[in-house]
This record gives sequence, structure tokens and C-alpha cells, in this order.
Amino acid sequence: MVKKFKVGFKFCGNCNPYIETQQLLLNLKKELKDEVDLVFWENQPYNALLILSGCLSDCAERPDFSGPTIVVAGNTLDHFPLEEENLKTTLIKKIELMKSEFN
Amino acid sequence: MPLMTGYQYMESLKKLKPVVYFEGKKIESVVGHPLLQPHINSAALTYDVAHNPAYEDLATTTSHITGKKINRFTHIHQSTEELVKKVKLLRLIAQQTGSCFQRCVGFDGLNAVYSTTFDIDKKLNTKYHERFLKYLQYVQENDLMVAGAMTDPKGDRGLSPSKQADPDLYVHVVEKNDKGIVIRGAKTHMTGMVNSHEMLVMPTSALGEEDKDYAVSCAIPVDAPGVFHIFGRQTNDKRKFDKMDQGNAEYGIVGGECLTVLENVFVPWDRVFMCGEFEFTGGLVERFATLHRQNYGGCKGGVSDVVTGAAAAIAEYNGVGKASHIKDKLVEMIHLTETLYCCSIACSSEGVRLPSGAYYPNSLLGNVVKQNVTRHIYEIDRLCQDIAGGFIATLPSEKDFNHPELGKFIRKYYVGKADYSTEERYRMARLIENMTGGTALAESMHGAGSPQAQRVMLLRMGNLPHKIKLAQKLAGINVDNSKKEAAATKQE
Repeated sequence: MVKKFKVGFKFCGNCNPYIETQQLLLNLKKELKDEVDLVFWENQPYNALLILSGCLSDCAERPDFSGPTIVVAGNTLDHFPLEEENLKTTLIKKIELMKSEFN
Repeated sequence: MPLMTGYQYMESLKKLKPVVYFEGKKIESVVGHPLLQPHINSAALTYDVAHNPAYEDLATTTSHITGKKINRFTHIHQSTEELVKKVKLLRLIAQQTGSCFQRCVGFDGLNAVYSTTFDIDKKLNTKYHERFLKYLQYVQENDLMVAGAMTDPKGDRGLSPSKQADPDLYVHVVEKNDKGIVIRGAKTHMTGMVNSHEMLVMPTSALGEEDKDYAVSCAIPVDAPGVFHIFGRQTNDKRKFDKMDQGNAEYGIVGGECLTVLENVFVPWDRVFMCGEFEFTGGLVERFATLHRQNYGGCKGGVSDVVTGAAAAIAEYNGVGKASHIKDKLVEMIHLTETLYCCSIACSSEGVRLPSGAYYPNSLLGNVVKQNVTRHIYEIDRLCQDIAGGFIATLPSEKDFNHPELGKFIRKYYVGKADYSTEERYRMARLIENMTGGTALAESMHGAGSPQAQRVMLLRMGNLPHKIKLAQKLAGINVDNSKKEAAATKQE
């Protein structure tokens, strides 16, 4: 049986968010439910880490994790600006690409 | 229990038996009492955010004592980044409560006493810091809410504590024995006291040797023998027995303050963190004040986010949401709110490491934060009231709104834009009325110290001699030559 790809997620704390990271995570969970397990960052091990910061300050503390990390910070994905409506699909593609490399 | 939930916090309060009075009557249980429950709900959120994945990065941290995950409100700041996170946490919670959640006072007290006891021990070879560390660990491991108990009644403000006609106008030690001390006096404006587990007593001002009996810091359970609390009035507090008319029925307005009377309260030595070391009182007060003034761009920033949102919403309900002057006023409100926030972030980023290892905000900038709050909140609230319209102050009561005969007339004549119900407009108006007036404003003026207290600090820390030199240099005045010339003139 093939192991399901696991992604740990961590929020920044959302003090004054420009994007709805909680909604983004819910959407990811819904769309990736058959392929990827999204788990709280404390539940290691996982294959990749997803940082969800509500704004560009991206002040989420990084857990001790040496694997690949994806950073959403406001309307940016790994520091590249994106339209909010494209954020989810681009992020899903990125996670799927990581998953295919993992398999 | 290192991380309680809001529910567990409320359950823990039920086990305490604080003596609380309001209008001459004893309140048997603080939990569930209409006057107190909104403030308890607000404090409970400081516990719930620690369990929410979306907020836990701000709401929790790692104890430098035990290495365990703890609620940030029980933490000693270990870096400037943690000072910044404190401000962000306060803004986050205030955005959700629209009100004071009270727990920062004890948080700041813990940090101030932590660093001061370290300094006392270094100089005097006492054991206060060791004691305090044990107490702090107890607070962290039980996730306790600690009320910061600093402000004494003060009597004649022109006289020192020992010169007052009544010696109890400042909390003081009346007895010492081999088991501990006995203290007497009172603490005023005690935010969140009646729904805390503990209080941390601190002196209220810098003291001289003649006042050394007043140099006392200690921890006391809020229900210790000899302690009782007289709950304070707030603007519109009888509306707490209604719902819509409260405006913010879930979380109330400001912190739910009281007068706490300490009638010969025994404190065992292991809970005493200062007893007579008057030379450290000024430093303790200054540290607490700076740590507390640091907060206000966070919590008041969050509250102002709600007020700005309420202004935008009521403008829309009134049918003027697109008017240019409304937008301009909303921009001004945002500008003022972010100005408050900027200062809190700045004083945190410019924080310093104290000898104890604890981090402490920049004192000058911390005082600027609070000075701005004494002005900008008034302006933000003024703009909100301007946008909302006078009906926020003249609306009929909730009982009439829900009255079978009268209600239909209120719904008819208080209607706004057709897209919204009269009830939405009514509710938003009540929120604005209660958030922008009365007690909420006075708290912005005097909480964490009155404006003049900050101005004294600004003058002391503003480095005027340096500014004079800058001006002299640009004006072409050679100060050394001027002095020599002046001296020579005198000799002649």
C-alpha cells in the first residue's frame, strides 16, 4: 500500500490577516482529501511543511523541520506575488508536484 | 494543566470563593453573573486562542523555565521577536472581543517582578528571584490568570505614602514574622481581578527610605482571607441585564474593574518578592509601566479595527457608504489605528535584554504608544460617532424594540437602506454607542497611567541636551568656544 503524502501546516497567528488562510486550508483539505493528509505541525513526521501567514510579514515561527517548506504569506507563494484567486490552484499544483516527486 | 481552555478556565473560577460586592450585595458566584460574565468570556478567549491552530503561534510559546508549551500570557519575554508577538497577540484577541481581555496586566506584572527580583538579589544577596521563579512556574503549569495589582488609592497626591493622614492609602506591611508578612491597604481600578486566580501586588510609585514599609511585592490568591472586592460601575452597566442594548453582549466594555481591599492579609514568605527594598521600587514601577504601555497599540489597535468596521458598516446601512467624506473619515481611522500599532511594534523591536535575560521594550517609544492612545482613540471614536449619526444616542430601548405593539413602529421609523434590516442597524448602533463612549474612553485616557505620567517619562528620556547640541551645531555655535568666552567675560 502506498503511503499517503503528508503535509504539516502551521499558521502565523493571524493578528491582522490580508488573506483568509483558514479558508485556504479548508479548501486544500477538501480538494486534496484523497491524495494528501494535511496535519497540524506538531504531528510530525510529515513530508513537507506548509506555512500559512496572513500577511507579508510572515512572522510564523518555523518548527524544527528539515524537509521542503512551502510558504504562503499574504498574496504570495514562496515569495512570488499571486492574485488571491490563483493562490489555491497554484498551491495545489505545488503540493501535487512535491507529492509526485515523493512517489 | 499547562494550557487550559476557556471552559476549563471558567470551571477553575468556580472553585474559588472571592468575596465580591456590587451595590451592597455579595455576588455569590462570579461565573454566570450578568455583570461579570462578559468580562469572563473575554478573558476566556485568552485561553481558547491557545488551542486554535490559526492563533496558537501567537498565543503560545515555550517556557524558558520548563521547556514546555505554555500560554504566552504566563511567559517571560526572551527576545525582541517575542515582544512583537505579544503586541500581535493583543491585537488579534481585541479584534475578536472588541473589549479588554484583562490578562495583560498580570502578564506585565510577572515580567516586571521577574527582572526586578533578579536585580535585587544581585545587589543585596536576597532570595527573591529564586522564590519568584517557583511562583512563576506554578503560574505557568496551572495556566493561571494573574491580576496585576499596582495602583494604590494614593490619597493626597502631594504627599508620600508615610505622610498620608491614613497610612492605608498605600498598601503596606503591618507585621513581619517567621512565617511571612501581613499587609493592609487597597488597590484601585483592578482590571479582571474578580475573575483572576491570583493577584500580584506591586508598589505604585518610587519610594524613599521613610516609605520602606510600602515597598512590598507579593502574590495572593484573589480569595485569600482578608481580601474583598467592590465591583466598579461602568457606563450603561445595568444594560448587562439586557442583550442588544449592551452593544457587545458577549464581551462587554473594558475590563470589569474593582476596588480590592486588603484587610490584614497574611502572605507567606515564599510569595513575597520585595519587602522593604525601597530603592528598587522606582525601577519596578517603570518596567511595569513600559511593559503595559507597550500593549496599547495592540489591544486598542484591535478594538479600533472593530470600531472602524462598525463605522463602515453603519455608513452602508445608512445608505451613505459610498460618500467620499465617509471614505475619507474611514481612511483617517485606519491611519490613526495603524499609527498606534506602529509605535507598539517599534518599541518592541527596539527592546533590550535586561540582566535577568528578560526582554524589555524601549521605554521612550513605549510611552509614546500610550500618549498616542490618550488622543487617537478619542479621535477614532469621534469619527465613528460622526459617521454613525445621532440616533446611536437616542434609540429606544431593546424592550421597546421587541414590544408587540411598539416594536413595529421602531422597525418602521429606524429603517435605513433597503438591503438591511432595522435590527442590523439597531445592533450596530448599539455597538458603536457602547464602544465609543463613557468608560471605554476614560480607560484609554488613564489605563496604564495618565497622560502626564507619560510626559514625565518623555521629558526624562527625550534627550533634550542632545537635541540642543544638534541645533547649536547647525546654527554655527561652537559650544566650547561659547563657554570659554562666557567664562572670560565673567573674569573681566
